Amino acid sequence: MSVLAQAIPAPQTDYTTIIPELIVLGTGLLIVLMLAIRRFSNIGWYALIAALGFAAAGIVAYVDLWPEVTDGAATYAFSGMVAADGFSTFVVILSCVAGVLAVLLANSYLKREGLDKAEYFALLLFSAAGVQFMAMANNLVMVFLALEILSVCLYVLSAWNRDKFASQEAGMKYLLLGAYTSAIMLFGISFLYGGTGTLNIAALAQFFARNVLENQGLVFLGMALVVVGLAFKIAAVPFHMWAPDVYQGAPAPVVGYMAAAAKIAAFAALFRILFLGLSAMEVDWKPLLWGLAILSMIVGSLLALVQSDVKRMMAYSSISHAGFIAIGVAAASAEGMSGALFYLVTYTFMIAGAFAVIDCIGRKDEQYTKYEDYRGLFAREPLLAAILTFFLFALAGIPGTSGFVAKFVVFEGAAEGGQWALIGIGTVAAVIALFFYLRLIVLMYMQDSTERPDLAETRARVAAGPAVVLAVTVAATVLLGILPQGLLDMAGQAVFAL
Amino acid sequence: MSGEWILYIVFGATALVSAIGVVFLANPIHSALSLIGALASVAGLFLAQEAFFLSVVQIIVYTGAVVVLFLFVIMLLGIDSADPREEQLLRRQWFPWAFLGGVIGVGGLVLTITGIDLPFGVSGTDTADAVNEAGGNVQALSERLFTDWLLPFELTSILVVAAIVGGVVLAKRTKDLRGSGMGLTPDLAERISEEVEADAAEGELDPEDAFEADDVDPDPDSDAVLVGETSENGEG
Repeated sequence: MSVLAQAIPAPQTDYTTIIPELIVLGTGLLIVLMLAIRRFSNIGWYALIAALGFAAAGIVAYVDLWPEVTDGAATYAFSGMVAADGFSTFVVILSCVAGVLAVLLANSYLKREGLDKAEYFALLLFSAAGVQFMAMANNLVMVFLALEILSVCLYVLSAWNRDKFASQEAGMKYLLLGAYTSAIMLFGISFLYGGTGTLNIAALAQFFARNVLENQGLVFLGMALVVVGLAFKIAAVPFHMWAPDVYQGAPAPVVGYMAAAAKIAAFAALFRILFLGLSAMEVDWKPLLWGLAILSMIVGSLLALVQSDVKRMMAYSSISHAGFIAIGVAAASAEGMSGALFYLVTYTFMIAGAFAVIDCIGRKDEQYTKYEDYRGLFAREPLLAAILTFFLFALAGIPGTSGFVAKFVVFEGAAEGGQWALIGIGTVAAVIALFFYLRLIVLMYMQDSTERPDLAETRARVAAGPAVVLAVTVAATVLLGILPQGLLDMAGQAVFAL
Repeated sequence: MSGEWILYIVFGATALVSAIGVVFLANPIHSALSLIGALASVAGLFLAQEAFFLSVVQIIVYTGAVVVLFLFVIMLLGIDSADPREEQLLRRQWFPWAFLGGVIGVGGLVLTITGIDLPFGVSGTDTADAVNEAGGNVQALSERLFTDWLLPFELTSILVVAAIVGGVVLAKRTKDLRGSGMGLTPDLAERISEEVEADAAEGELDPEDAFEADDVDPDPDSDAVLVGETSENGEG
């Protein structure tokens, strides 16, 4: 038989399972194409296209896919490369919400800073597709590819304000350290392949179900290195070194998106790899996540206490939040996982809102981000100060806000697993965290504004985009704080369908 | 000891030594050449696995194109401008870690050679027999690439598009030299000129030769002009 006679079997292409991703990617490519043909003078049009793309993808995912995936087991598509289940669909919807918020935040920022290049929105769309494919990835190579798509876009977005030294530094640092950890993760994936002979996450679970390993060294090393790679992306201690510099230097709208998107993606991959693929090694990876959670909560909270720049403080705050979410993973239960999902949703809204305020207060060139500039803010900008106070309380986890419910459900998950030590340390960290949020709040209300006559003369401008973001995020944070049940049910469904 | 093992040990050792050379050699050109050695050794490892096609591609793409690109960048940046003090600092910081990595690598090799039982895992489905059955390396690879691995293959193109778009956005120069050419912002220019002057004070460099500090106007008021011009450029 000649070689030519052997027909290659047709690839398994189930495009219906990845419709949201196709919409997001298509919109991104459309923007790139439009830029090549003719540029609109106002980038608002591109922002509109990007927002519509995100909205369409989110709606399709919710209306079309969500009812399908929640009542059955996962469907594997593209020869087992992606899995469409409640979990991935939940994350896809969340990433679309984060994307819409990011577009609204960015539009006015880009115009104000004179950085209005529409490629921003294309990269935003690509990065969101990276998040979505990471949640769906059922193959370690897919995890790596999706992570790289997300990361490359975030590196560029961090350095977007390239005329500013801090932004260049942020992009460069993120790129170098990110590339390094990507290599470490890839190394880990190769060990997992060497130890099990498969890259498919579902097949990993089958391998462990069928075989008892005499020596787990190879697989353990692979698992640990993969966890390191993902822990870098969620900025968990001790892999957090990049976060403060990147958060401080990158443009505020980018940080508001990046903080949420990177966490969503990396946690989604962690869930799938650890819960599904390596559930047989729970004894091995639980202590790793314990350590990550405890260190992140404590170190993040303590270092946030001594900061004097709001964006830098928010970086350490995000590190401690990564610790809280990691509790949900360390609980290694369905409750913990749905709690972590709920936490990620509330965090997406809170961080987008907080950075919308920081962007407005920072004004042109983001020059006012020091604690000094927030002194007496309430007297100058009562509304912005009040909204920021609300978000800081929500981030701290004050009852009545979604932040409280989020911490509660994560702790509840840990309690079901009887992990009281983790809860104890988490509570202490939450109390420490309250201090550094309060420090900024006190500064805003208690100090006399006459100390900053240069700021008192003009008001900070709140453009339409950030105004909408603020309205939506405040509403979501209140609503999820008072009536969380709907979303909690959704998160619960997402997990059980996994 | 089979032939595959001998090849593995030889190429593995060369790859390790070359990789350590990339980190330790003082001259960037030497590092790049050492990188060629490392990548070529990996090609040899592929050869030992009977992955002939991959081995040839590794040499053409990495050893050929990628390293040449590296050398180009090094030439463009100028190898003479590297500050010897910084290099030394870098080497000192890296030394313990590189040393640790080297020890682990060499230790692994010694263990392998002496045949101490290590967990060697299992082989996947793409064995040499499976490849032969498919009709050779190219056939097997292309068949897998366009069936099972179709989606990752397509996603790679998205990754490349994202990287290119990002690279173009960051590297494209605006008309204003101060604005973005070479990333020379007013405050960066000020920092550089300060450093150059500090070096000159120590008698190491002549500031006139190194950098025309007067060319750049560190006046923050020039921002207004800058913004107007960049945005105009973005539209055009």
